[in-house]
Amino acid sequence: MGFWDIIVYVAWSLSAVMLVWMVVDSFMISSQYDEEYLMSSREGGEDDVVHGVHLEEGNQ
Amino acid sequence: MASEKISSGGKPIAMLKVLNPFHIWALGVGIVLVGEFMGWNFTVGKGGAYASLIACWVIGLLYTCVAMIDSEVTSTVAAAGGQYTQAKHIIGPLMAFNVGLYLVMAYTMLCAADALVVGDLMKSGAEVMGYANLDTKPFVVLTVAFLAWLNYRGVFATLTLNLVITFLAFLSLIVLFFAVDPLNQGVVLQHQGLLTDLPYGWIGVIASLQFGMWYYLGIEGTCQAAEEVRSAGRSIPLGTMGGMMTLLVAATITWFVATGLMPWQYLGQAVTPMYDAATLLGSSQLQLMLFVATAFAAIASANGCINDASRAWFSLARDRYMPVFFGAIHPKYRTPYRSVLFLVPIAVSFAFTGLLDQVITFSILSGLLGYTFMTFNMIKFRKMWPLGSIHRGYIHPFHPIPAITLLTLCCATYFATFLGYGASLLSIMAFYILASIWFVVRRYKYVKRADQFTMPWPRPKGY
Repeated sequence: MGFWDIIVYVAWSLSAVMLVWMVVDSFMISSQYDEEYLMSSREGGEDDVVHGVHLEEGNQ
Repeated sequence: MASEKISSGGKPIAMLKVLNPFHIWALGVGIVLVGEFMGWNFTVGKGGAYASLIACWVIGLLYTCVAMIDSEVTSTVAAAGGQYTQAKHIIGPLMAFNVGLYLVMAYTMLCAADALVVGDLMKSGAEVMGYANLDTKPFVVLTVAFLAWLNYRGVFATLTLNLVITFLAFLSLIVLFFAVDPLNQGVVLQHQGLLTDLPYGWIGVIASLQFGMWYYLGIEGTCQAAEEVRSAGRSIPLGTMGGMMTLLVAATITWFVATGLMPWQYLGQAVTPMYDAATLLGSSQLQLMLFVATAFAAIASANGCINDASRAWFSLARDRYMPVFFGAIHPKYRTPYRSVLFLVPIAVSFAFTGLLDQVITFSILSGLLGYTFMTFNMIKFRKMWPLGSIHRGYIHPFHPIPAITLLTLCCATYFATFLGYGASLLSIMAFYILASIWFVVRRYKYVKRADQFTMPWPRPKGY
């Protein structure tokens, strides 16, 4: 088996390991965490986001 | 008895705000820079070297308008989804759905094309080392899998990697520029002999506009990071405008070097023109540098595309425009992990078709449809919320001239695309029309209409 044949097998193997890792991890997260929590994000994220302050409110 | 699942305890989950303007620059320039290493030169094939330069600057103007408009709106609508979220707040659900779809398709297709390029580069490298017919598929899959894995595990490491490899790829263009002794014409560069008149006249210039988009396609992706960047109102405009300036310099350098070394007939159909330029200089170090830089540029582009496509898909799902399942955030890595994972088989499938030009055309046209939307979006945004009514992190000058210029240049580029890829243009339009019908008839009923408008803005003027 030549150098490039080994490289091809390494590429397939690494790809498989990473893909399987992601799939397994996503199943584990689903089994450990409440679905409502995982999908509770709000648009704009956390409170320090620049959301466009309503100037009239800001001036009050 | 089954153990109880971990729940929120009342506090919603959110993506991490860890990025700075340099990451934004890396995201925008990283997606685009591969276009300076390959693809831009098809403008030369369409209309000659001068047409390529005109396309470089005219399309540069188009993207400068895009960057300015995007910076203003994103500095106000600072949320993942970028232009999709803007469309949702400013125009309406159907436009938002379409824009979201343009974004997902444009970035997923571009990611597939980048992975194809990495595979082809590996094949070329193997050939140089004496191994012919290397199978490119494992390297295509490895590229997508590795970058998806990186994106899955966190945005900071993902875009820090982009920052490093994008900077190195840009640096290689600067090194190449100085290697050709740019101040002494005739020593290395032969512009006087190689630059000819427009071989196909002005229609060739118009035709070259479509491929001129390769110089800049993807810079608008910076706003997808709005929800993960610290001080979005400052960072997004800084990163985007800085990225646009970098690309204008890189595009001009690229044109200058390549057209001074190769005749337009060859350059117009070359696969890797910058690598060819380094080969012509006879330096093996430069050759190796350009080979690595081309690979870095393709990887950075694919990386940014996965980041942006997943954020767009995630935003569509969070608003129930797509199945809400994809609107989840990883509790440890704080990334839209299901969206990242979902797009992997789609990107790989497109890449396995091997139809690089068709894949890229779909990506370019999806991008162009998005830019067309921006013009109407900007006009309506300023009309509904005039200056002073809401806080803007950045205000772009000379409104409405940039919006009108953008629309005019978009129309010219549609015409250019029609000249070269008329069937593709019409089939892509048909695809989006069918998708719109599906959304109206089958999907919109799941959307929570009352939750659509999240910005704490005053009532729009005239409503």
